[in-house]
Amino acid sequence: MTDPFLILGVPFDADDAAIEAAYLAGLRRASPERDPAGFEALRAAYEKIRTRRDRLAYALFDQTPPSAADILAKAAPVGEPRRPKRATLTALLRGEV
Amino acid sequence: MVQKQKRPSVKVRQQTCAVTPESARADLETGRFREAMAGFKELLKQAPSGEGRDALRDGLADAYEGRARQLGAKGMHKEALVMWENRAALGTLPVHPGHAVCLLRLGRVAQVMPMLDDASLKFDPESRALLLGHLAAQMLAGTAGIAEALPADDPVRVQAAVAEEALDAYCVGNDQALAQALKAIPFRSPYRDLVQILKALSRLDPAARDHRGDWTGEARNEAAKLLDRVEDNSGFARLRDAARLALLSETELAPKLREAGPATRDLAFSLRGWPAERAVLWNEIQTLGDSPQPKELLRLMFRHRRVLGETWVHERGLRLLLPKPQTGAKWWSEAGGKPLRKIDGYLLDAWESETDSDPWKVVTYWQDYADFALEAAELRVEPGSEIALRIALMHRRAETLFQILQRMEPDSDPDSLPGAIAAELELSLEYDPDDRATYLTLIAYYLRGGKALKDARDILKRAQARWPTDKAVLTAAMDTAIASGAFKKAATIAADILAVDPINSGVRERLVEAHLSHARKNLSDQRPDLAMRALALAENWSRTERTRERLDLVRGLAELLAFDPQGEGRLQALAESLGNGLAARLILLLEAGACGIPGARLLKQLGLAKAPTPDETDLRAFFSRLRAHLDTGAKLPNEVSQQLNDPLKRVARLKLDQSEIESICETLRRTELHDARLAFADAALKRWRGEPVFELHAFEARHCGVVPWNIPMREMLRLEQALERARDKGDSRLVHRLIEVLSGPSLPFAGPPRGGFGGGFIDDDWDDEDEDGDIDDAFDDGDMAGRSIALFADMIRTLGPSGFRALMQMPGPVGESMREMEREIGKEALDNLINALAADINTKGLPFPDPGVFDTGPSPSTRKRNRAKRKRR
Repeated sequence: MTDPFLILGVPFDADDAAIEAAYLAGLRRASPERDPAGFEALRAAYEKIRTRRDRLAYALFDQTPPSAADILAKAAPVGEPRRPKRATLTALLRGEV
Repeated sequence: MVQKQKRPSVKVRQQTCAVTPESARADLETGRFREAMAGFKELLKQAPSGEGRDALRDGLADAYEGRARQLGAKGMHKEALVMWENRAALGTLPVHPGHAVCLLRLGRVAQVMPMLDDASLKFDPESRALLLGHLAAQMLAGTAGIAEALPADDPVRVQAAVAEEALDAYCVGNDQALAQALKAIPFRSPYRDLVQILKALSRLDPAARDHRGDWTGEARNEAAKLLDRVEDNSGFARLRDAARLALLSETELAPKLREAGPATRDLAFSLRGWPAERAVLWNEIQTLGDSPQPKELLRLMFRHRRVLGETWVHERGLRLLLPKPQTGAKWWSEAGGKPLRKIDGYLLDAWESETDSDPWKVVTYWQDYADFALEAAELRVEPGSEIALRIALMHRRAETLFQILQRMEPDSDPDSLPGAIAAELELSLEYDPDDRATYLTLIAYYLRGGKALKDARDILKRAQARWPTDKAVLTAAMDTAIASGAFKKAATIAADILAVDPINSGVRERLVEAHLSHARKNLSDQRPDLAMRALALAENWSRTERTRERLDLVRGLAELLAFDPQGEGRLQALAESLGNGLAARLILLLEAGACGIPGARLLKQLGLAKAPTPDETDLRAFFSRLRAHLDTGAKLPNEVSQQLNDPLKRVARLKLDQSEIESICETLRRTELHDARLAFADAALKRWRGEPVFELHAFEARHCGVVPWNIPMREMLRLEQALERARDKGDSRLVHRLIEVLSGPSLPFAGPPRGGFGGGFIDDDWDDEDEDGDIDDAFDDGDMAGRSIALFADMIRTLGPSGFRALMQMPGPVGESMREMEREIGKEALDNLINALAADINTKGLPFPDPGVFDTGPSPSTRKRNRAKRKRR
């Protein structure tokens, strides 16, 4: 994913406070010690859209094309994990793939 | 019609060449089971009875087993069963669990039950456990007839109920019931693999995910460890594989999902929280291939514009038109996009301008975009509003990208690049007056070189009005005061800064430096009394050893100038503390030069006139001081260079490390000490023959200031050989430098002009892309005409058109090169070319597809004209 708004999981009109809150929440899940790569991605996304000027600059100057992952994340973001249906487990136990 | 050649059957192939037990065994070991089966069968037909026959039969059984597994892996269970049955028909072989599994897959439970009683399994508990595990999995999968066929006390039958409970509890999210059920399943149960899998899956709860939706490393590792306990041949292996897939990160998952079946995907989608619509869209994206083309992505985005949002699709979609927006814009509407607006064209132009390293282009195209945005604004643009901030950012873009003002100083040309960028930044402040960084950049720029102090003060005044107590603005105020010679004012500001930031050593250093400069100026004016006063003020702020040393030095010079006998002693003591060698002389000469005192006279007065030959310690100290001096941006005065060149040449023979000599040569490159640099490089080449970095230093030092065509060919060849060696060593930085030197001075051909959207984005005819290619071809490395033109252009600049034409009669490579070019393009075209290059006009009639190729990039005035033209259009 390349879009900092999608990485931080904030709407495109989020303000400074919402972005900072999303960043801090992300840090709890991706600390630099436990998940250095995740932390880097989070930090880079935060730096890109931290202030109002940053967000306007990102909209104006960032030329990164959207990736398939961006489109997927924008159209249908990942939700809360669900337990699978019993039928799915049965099929797998039966040997289906 | 070409007749399709039929592949010969295994039997036919087998008959055509002699089969040996070794060849059949080799087929078996390399997984060519069909060939191995045919081979062993053939060998068995020919073999007499006995031990040898048993070995061949075992080989055939292995081949059947291998083939059965191959077919089973492809889901061809019926065909696999035939192989298993063929294997069983070979005679007294033990029951193979795989055979039973295959039967279970086909629902033939009744055929499996007798196998459980087979004598061979009684002596092979591992295989029996494996078979029971498969039975257990099939029991949970609802395969009919298993329970009825098993004795009432069989563990598969007895523990099935609790395993079912565990599965149900997991699926409904009842973790307490799950834990209880799992606890009730014994360690040696046929359901034990299920226990591991359910334990692993229950680790994957919402709290164990990071911001990207991936599992945290901790959860992932724990779950993976549990899943690793399940063997590949387990009856629960498919469930384990699906669970493993769900552990992957989003990026790892995508390619794997493509290979997975529907049940595996369902499990992964559920565990990762994919909503149904995401799965549908993901399926659609998969149809676009591994790396979807931008056009295809754009088409997809337009198809889903309702869900993605019209604005997002438009804004992000424009990025897919890069890097060739002209081409991309053609398929924008083909892909289903609404017609592009004029402002989109301006934006695409501006983006495209950034692909070049030409700051003028960036300034111009973002200016155009800003102007258009301003015109398009319906209401007055209020400073600080969103549109105003956008316009301000556009005006700052070139500086953000190239940081010209951080490197250059103001000059008198109002049309110079730094001047234009500074004007852009000043304009940006009208729209966004709250951007402190822009004020500071401008102040620092105007202060550099000391020629635009008034401009610096104007900007500072505006900044101070907004941030009167800001530390950075106060520091800028102090710098401005120092640059204006208002040292008292600077000291007051410094005190203010240090009051709020007592450990700000930078402020302290700058203030000491300011007082020192003041003292030096006083000494140059022959006012040692005033210099002493400035030094006293500097003393108050000095904290480091290095600044104290410098203060002592200037004090000594002031005393010397005031005929105070203390001065000579002070300076001699200082020189002694520095070793009385080259390092001491450098410090004395630099400071004397800054104070307007002739260095040679000072050295004579101090008894240091005769330059010593330095030892290694002195040499290292000397270069350390010299680097520190050059790092301040100062140059080495001529008088100092003259004093140092000879002793440095003498010392070049010292046996220093290669890296140390490299560093010395690099430092000397920054000075005018070419002879010394050459001496060090030559001495190094005697020790490390042909070492490319020293070849480069020797070449540059030897030919400094020499016009390229006066350098002997053998020298160029030697440098080319050095380039090859540098390439072999993989030293890309050195390769780059060598290529730069070999290419000579910068060429005037910047390549074809880019862009072309302008205000006429929608109406303009697109440039033919192929034109660029033709032009590039004409000037590629291997093209004689291109290289010659580049060389000639430099020559014309140096010699002028008439001097250049005289060279036509000249013997040697230059004359030959010109004559060859005349043969290639004709006399008239060559004359036109010479005149065009000389006068930078009238490029009509040149033998190239686009005269713009000779454009060195329009001058600012040309750009303004072009801009005006575009605007009129």
